Amino acid sequence: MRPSEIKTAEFSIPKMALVYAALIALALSTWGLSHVRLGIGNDLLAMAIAVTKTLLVVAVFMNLLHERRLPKLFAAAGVCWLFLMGTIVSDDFTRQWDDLPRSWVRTEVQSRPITPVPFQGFRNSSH
Amino acid sequence: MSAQPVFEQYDDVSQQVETYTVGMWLFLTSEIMFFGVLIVCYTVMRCREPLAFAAAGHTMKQTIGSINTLVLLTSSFTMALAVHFAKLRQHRQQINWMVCTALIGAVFVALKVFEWKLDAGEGHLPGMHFVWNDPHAGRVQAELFFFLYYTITGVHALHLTIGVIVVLTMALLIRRKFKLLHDDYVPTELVGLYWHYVDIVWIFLYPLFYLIPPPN
Repeated sequence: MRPSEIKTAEFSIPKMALVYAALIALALSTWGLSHVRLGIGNDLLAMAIAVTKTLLVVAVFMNLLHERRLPKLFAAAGVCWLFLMGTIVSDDFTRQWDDLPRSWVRTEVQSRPITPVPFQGFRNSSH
Repeated sequence: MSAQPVFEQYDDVSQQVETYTVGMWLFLTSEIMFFGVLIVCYTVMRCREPLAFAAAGHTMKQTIGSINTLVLLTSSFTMALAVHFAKLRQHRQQINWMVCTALIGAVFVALKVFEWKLDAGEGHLPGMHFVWNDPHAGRVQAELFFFLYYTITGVHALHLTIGVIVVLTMALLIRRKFKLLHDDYVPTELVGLYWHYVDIVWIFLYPLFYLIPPPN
């Protein structure tokens, strides 16, 4: 590959400025949304906005949109691992107050009473 | 335009650049898991103790958190500009935007330290001297919230501080025409990836800690 073929900037400055403006607008909307009582909707919308902002940053600022397949695959792997961890943890979290299977429940071990043996002195090994 | 150096283990520039980028994304994947564990831990505890976490969350300095969000998004934009000019081999512009990014990052860290100091002044530093006066929310649970808050934001600020140092050092070396950084735009791009990743972490931390809705 010749130096002239080396990758140059894919996104123009006006496009990046547009994305920056969108990010600021989304950040302000997150803040504004927190003043409206929507219950669980607040959290869901805030997370949806956060995911949108992340996609913008990853696609444009991190330039993943124009990357080759292998970097995209590694980036996707990170998200997959995170999703897997979240799924397993949420599964554990939602089940931990359920009744456990009987075979998993620890049973009390019957302990035998220990009868004390009176001390009878050391045996003299020389005799 | 100076030619990009190709090291002997690579066939061409293209393969070299891809290897660099994949390596950085692999590192970022491990970082995703690192912060992912902390955020999942926080989410689980918040689901278990919604009242205490909401009460503790309302003592957060929302204004400082919001300003910091805007500051970090701005730094991401300036970093993207630095990478843009690095690809165009316009080193003067590149250095200027890198220094600008580092300064904005330093402002974020300074605001964060100021906020921690305010929180600690109100007795919200977990430990023996932790102060909690809300009778409707448990003290231990509120202390847990602040423990997670200091841990996660602390680790995030540490990442950003490392970013500031690296960006400043690189800008200095490019200014001194250090061959590896001056002739090759990829190191700047890789540091940019790291910087944007730290920004993304904050994008999630901001609503999680600062914008907790009151429980129904």
